[in-house]
Amino acid sequence: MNLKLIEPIFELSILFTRVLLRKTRTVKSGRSLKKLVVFHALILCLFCFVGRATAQIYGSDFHTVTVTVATITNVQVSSGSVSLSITGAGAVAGQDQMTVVNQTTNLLWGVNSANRKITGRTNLGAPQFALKLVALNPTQGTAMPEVTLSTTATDFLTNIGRSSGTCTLRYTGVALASQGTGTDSHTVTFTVTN
Amino acid sequence: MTKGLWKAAILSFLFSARLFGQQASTEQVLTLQVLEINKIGINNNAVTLIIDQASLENGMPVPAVNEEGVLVWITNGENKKITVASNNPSPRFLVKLVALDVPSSAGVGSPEVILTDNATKDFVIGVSKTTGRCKIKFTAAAKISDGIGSETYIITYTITGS
Repeated sequence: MNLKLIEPIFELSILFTRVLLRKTRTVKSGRSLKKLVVFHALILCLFCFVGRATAQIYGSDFHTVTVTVATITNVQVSSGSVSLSITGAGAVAGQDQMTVVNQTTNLLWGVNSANRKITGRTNLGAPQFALKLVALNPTQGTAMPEVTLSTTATDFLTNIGRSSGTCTLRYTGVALASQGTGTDSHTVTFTVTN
Repeated sequence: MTKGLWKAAILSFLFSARLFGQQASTEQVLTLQVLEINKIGINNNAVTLIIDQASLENGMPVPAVNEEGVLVWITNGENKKITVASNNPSPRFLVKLVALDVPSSAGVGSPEVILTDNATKDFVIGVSKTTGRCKIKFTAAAKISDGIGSETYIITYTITGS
């Protein structure tokens, strides 16, 4: 409670009381007494109001708040492993090329930077058979034409800046009769880059 | 001096951490397996040979020839061959067949095969990691003494190991 604000009000109350007491000598004491009581009740209410208003402020201070959003880049696959097998089910007598397709896994990403793309590559430098990759139904960005994976990173999905999305990964294994039988083990790496 | 070095180190770390945040990668292990595949096929399911002419020189029936059939195959295995067999152990008439126009990369055509019984006989040999096609030439012949009639054969082609 700020006593400086209450002091003038208190003096006003005393002055009014003196005036009223002087008047009580010439008029009926009942009416004057009533006025005095009402007046002091009002003063009391005013003290309470002022007291309550001044009680909110004890002091104040401030500080600055800084919000920083860092670069966020996240990419992941729905499954860490994929298997393709050319068993002859799709082979045709007289046709040299045999293929198998897998599109059971998805790629997911979240990027808050502009101008980003996703590249794909394999770690296998000399595969026995060709492995192709294309993005199907991307929810964001532009899918590049189907590529044959190599150790050089190749554009897979472009224009994915400031977005989160998903696409289906379609792998196609290709073997020729002249290449015989065998197994290739790839580690396919997807990278978000600019 | 020490405080200044610590501040510099912290700032350097934060700066480099922000650089790392520019690129993210994920990996997926993929296995592509190719098993041995052997397939063979023919383009026509029925061949008809009609002996209806006689030679003017000796009066013997002129053999009938059919080259409409085409055999195709694929194998990614090694040391294969294509055999042929008839289901008729005692044919009445003479039926022969041979593979024509076999590409050198696809195999080697065997000599003409005479279907005298139901034994399996080599038709194309030296087939390894290849795809190929050839014509099938049928020759049907009859002697006067064989009379007239009709016989149906089921000819089976098989790609198998050598």
